[in-house]
Amino acid sequence: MTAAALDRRPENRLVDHFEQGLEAPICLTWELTYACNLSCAHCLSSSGRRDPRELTTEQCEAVIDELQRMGVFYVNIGGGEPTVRPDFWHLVDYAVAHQVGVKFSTNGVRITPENARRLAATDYVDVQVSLDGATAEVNDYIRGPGSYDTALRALANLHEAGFRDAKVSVVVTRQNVGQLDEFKAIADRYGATLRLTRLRPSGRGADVWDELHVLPEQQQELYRWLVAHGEDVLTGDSFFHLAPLGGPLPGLNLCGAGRVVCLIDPIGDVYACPFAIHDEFLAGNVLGEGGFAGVWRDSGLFRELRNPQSAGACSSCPFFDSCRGGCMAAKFFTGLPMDGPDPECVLGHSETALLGQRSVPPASQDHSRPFATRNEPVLVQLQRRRPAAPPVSACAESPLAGFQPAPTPR
Amino acid sequence: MPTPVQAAPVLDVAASPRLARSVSVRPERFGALLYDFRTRKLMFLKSPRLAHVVRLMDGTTTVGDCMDRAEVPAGERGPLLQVLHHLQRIRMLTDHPLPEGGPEERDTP
Ligand code: SF4
Ligand code: SF4
Repeated sequence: MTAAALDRRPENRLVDHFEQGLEAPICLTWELTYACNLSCAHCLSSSGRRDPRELTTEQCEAVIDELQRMGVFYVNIGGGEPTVRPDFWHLVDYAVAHQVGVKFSTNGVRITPENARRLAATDYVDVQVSLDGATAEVNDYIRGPGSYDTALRALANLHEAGFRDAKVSVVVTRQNVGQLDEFKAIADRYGATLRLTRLRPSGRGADVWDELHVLPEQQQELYRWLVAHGEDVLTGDSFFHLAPLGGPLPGLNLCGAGRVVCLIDPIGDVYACPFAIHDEFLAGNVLGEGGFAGVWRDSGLFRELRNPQSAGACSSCPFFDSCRGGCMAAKFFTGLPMDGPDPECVLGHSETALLGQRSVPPASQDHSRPFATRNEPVLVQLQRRRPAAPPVSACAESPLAGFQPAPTPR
Repeated sequence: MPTPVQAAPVLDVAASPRLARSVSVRPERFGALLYDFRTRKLMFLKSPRLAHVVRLMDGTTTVGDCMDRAEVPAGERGPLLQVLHHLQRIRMLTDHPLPEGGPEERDTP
């Protein structure tokens, strides 16, 4: 028997272990703050303003202590822009000192030459710089004016400081899918690795998904590119819904929500996945009695997600084994049934459903800034809904204040 | 199941490697997970017995002795040694003697 044969024995099918859940998450994301200097149009956590209930430094340290006890290897720190938290560098040092590695996502705003040098000094910290266009034009349309330069400066600072293998993290969109070679060249220039992820309709992403998500013919192009470069780029669990185009790609080929993936938000709420910040996927809070470990092991939601999921309308699909109906969050936030095909099903099985009657769930939270800022992306300005009527002040006396007459039927 | 034309390389039973300092282990129901902070590679040890053997490897005990102590049946030793060889190839296992000094010290790549 070979090692490969060992893998194929039924008790060794990893997918099954994943579905039963692990002792601790492999891919744990921790959004440290909802505060952000940018207002990206597709922000998965609708970030902008800090939540006043944000965990304190001591509470964050207690979470790290617990992650260490659980044997969590590393935590993906994000936000918001995590580096704007005044205790950010302290928490990174604290995690490393407690054998919890840190991978953090940043728009680059605080990656000065000095900070780059301190990051280069340890193996336990990895940095992902977000970039959503290989040119300033494409990037800044989504991420806001100046954000391209900030990201490239951060990559240059890391490279010059001798930081090895930073990640250039790209959300693939209709506008940038033609720039994959250029993204790769940028990553190569800075000795970095390219990381491509899928645009999901989460957070503010729900408002712009129709305009930004890759078109069916672009999915072919993306798939071919990933087949050609798959070993050199990181994709996480982003593209398993493309498997029917010609076979599974490297990466995690299943939805790990609540099984290997989960999210801790800035106030300590635990969700099944970073793309599922919604009451529907809220499993508990780290400040509760059992702490994070209690939520991970015992929450009703996670137990449910670890049970075999119904394939629903996908059950007759010959590709179900590799595609598994796609991304739970993408279905949820586009108002599609959870046990049916992904909104970007490559066989086109969601096209009719997307055109028909569906009710998109209202966001359960929004930390966006209420007013425009200097570096707001054009796309956000276009999206910002103009109020239908002036706001009603609390002391308005007119009995008709705030009354919206229904349009008169003709 | 296809029969391999050429046997995959195996670790020498007389070797006595240990886990690199940059590797963390977490026990799981199916065996264990290994994570290497230096290469950021995650590995699955997909059997509790294999995980047990890896736990026993301390840099002085031979792999053969570790397998005896973990009571690995003869039929499982071949595949297990292949996995160990792979771990050595990706440098999660090392032959270097334990470095002197504090726990901060790590193997040089
Ligand atoms: S819901 Fe989507 S993004 Fe979240 S773990 Fe599942 S596949 Fe990944
Ligand atoms: S029908 Fe379902 S399983 Fe088949 S390709 Fe579409 S989403 Fe995937």
